[in-house]
Amino acid sequence: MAAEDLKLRERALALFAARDGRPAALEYFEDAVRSEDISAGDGPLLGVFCNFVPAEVVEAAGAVPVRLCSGSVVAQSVGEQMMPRDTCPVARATFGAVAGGFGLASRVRAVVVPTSCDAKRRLAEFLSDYVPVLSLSIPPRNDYRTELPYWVSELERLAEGLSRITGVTPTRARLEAAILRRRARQDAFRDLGRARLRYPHVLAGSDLALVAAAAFAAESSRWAEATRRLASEVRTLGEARPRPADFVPLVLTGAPLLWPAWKLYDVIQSAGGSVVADTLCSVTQGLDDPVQVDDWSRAGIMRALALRYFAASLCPCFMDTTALTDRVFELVHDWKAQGVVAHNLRLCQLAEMQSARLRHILRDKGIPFLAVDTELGTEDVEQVRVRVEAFMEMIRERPCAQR
Amino acid sequence: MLAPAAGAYAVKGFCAFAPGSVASAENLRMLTVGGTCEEVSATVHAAASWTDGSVKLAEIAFAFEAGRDGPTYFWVEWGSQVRRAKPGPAALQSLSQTLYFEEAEVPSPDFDLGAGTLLVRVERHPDLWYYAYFVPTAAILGLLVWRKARLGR
Amino acid sequence: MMRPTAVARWSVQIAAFGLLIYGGFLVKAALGRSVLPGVSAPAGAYSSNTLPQQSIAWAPGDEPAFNFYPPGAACRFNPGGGLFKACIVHMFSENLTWRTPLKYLSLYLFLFVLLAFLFGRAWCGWICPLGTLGDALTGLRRLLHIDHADFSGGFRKALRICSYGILAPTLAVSAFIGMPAFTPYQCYLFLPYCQVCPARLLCPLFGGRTSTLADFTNGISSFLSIASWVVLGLFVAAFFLGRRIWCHLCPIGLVNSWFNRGSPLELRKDQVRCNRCAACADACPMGLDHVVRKKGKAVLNEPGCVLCLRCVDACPRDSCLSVTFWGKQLIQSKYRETHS
Repeated sequence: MAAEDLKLRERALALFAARDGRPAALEYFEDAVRSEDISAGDGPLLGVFCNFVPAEVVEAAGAVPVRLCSGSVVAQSVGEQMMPRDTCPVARATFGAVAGGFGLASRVRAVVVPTSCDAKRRLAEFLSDYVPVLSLSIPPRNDYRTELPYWVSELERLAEGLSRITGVTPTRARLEAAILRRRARQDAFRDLGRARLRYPHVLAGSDLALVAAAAFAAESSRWAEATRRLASEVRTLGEARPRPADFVPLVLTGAPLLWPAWKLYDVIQSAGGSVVADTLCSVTQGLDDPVQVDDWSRAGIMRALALRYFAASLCPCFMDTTALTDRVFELVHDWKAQGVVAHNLRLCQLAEMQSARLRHILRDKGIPFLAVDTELGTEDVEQVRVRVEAFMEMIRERPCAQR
Repeated sequence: MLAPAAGAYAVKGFCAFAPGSVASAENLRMLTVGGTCEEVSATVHAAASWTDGSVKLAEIAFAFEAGRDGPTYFWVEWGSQVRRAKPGPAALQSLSQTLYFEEAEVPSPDFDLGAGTLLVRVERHPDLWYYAYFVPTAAILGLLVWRKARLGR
Repeated sequence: MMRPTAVARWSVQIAAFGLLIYGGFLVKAALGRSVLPGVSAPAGAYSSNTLPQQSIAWAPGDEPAFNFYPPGAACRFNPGGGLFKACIVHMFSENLTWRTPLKYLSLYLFLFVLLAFLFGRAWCGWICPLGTLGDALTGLRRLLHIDHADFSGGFRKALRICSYGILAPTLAVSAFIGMPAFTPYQCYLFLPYCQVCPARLLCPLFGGRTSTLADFTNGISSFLSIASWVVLGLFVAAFFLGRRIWCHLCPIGLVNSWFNRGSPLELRKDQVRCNRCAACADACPMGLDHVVRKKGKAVLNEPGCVLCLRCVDACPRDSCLSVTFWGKQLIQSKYRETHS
């Protein structure tokens, strides 16, 4: 099973590597997702999910955080043996990876599961048969005024739970060091973002997703260094290469596209579109927002972590998602996108309902919108391709002034 | 319109003194400047006193014939040897217009506290100059209120 | 790693502190006493050498260099008279007592209104020496990694009401003791807010003068001395533990705050760029959260905001928050790298 999973990843890498003119600096990221080699130093591996678990707290507790959200159909088929079929594909895949012992999932000492949605809550229980599980409670309202004290208390509880596992207490000084260390990621990602904004045609959306997927498990300073090398290469290549006339920039939103289930990237790119910006928790949302600390006392640090990880989240598991709508508008405006594609992961009710609402809002603004319902597997790739190609046709036929 | 009419004004003013320098209001008088230094008929009373009874704040009032524009100077003199000879002008209350005098010099830090003189100045300013500043003040306040209202909408 | 607006603000605060407190010495040494240029306005019915308490020994010559009242806490008790005359509360109090005809104050009022309108409560955030001292206390607390105290919106509103409750009685008492029947009490109750303001205790210390610290000659002055110590204690505690919570209480700040909304110095927000991270609310020393909370408003001026611009520095989204003056942009929020 593990071998099949590896083969699946290799095929995915080869598919996207076949593109012309790819920056050479992507090699580091390919190696990182291929081998999942964590040379982050000492400390037990701690599995995390979503973007809710503050990696800084995990690092301050002496552990190494690795995000386990899986998009592997092989792992999913393992997971289906125990989990019912009609449940979140990511939950099935992730459980399958842990139960089947694939890659990093086989090496974690414990996992932290945020209770963001139904699937995660039940996943936590399934996982508890295989690894120790710490839970992080996510209340459904992300209004910091009412929820901040609770978020902070949850983070303190997490810190205490982690220290019992690792034996290391996350002190104020360790938290500060971890925040500054991990800040390198945001600095590098924003640098790459500025390079991409200037030359959006150089780096494919799938390549950016590769960079982000590598960040799930990579060590911060090495990843950041590789990202900055990529950014400078993007600038160099961008200056040499003019933007193609048929360049169609798109914004991608919705449920995460988890490595290696990147069928949608492949379909969009084959149809001539380019994903230039996204609101996915698998790419931009995990890397763009920094932890902004105002007061470096212990309580101030915890507040800053809570605000970055909870208040700034665009996840549809929260009741108020106007932040997501605003972000889509901002991205369409800044990147001059010609359309928005929403990735509806089948059985994710939250994402589907949110994208239905987004459709109406964007239609009022005259922005082309396509919602793609799909799963991890590639059985429906042709149906998806038909819909995406029709969408691209529609965009190309719009008068230039409207774009 | 531009300059207050010529005529009689009541001039008032306050002078402050350090403790012990002016024993009582009698030890204060006003003199004209230049030439003969004649005493001016003035009402002086102690508006506030130090705990040793000396005058802290003296209120001085006298009548002034405003004949021309430009400042007119007077001396305020005090000391243990000084006695006010002339009584205050009787008709001061009936004068409807009041001017204020101000200090025309800064007393040096080491002046003799027991006796001394202070130069004061009376000036007839066209009132318009004072009122003129109300116009931009009102304009700015109006602009502020208008901008606030615009924000509220 | 200091934020750029923080560097600018500290520089202005320290320069303003030095100028307000010691500027009087410097300017008078160079020029002698100067009144406001252009108008030789009389001092009106009052003399600025008047002092209520015997303990505060005013030597003649303790006059400010510029006879006007800027919108900050330019205290009249600055050593050597200070650069400016006094704060606006003092101006109201003193002239209510002496019944100065309004026309003699028109120039000072105009200048105050002009400056307060142009810069709103930025005078509190960038110039006020009490604010500078307080921010130094805050800096000490941050060095020690002690967290600051949190105050609810209700508490802040209550403080603002108390601020009115300080200003109104101050003006009422000032008006009363100008009446002939009450003049014997003038020496005790002249400038009622000045009697308890922490500036009266703190500013003279910078000139090495301790005479304002205590006066026990009689019951009223003893009471006021003790009251001023209590207020000073509250001031120090409030600034050390509570960032700028004191500024919600200050009556000078209250007068400035009337000019904030509608000032051409505007704090603006581009709503679509906000990710609701609330870093601005976390950073605000006045404890305000309107920057993150207000939806769909471009201009965010609030009476409580001292325009310290920590929110703009804290905002991690490019071009989300900006400061404009008469529509011209001065700064905007920008993501700043910590690792270069």
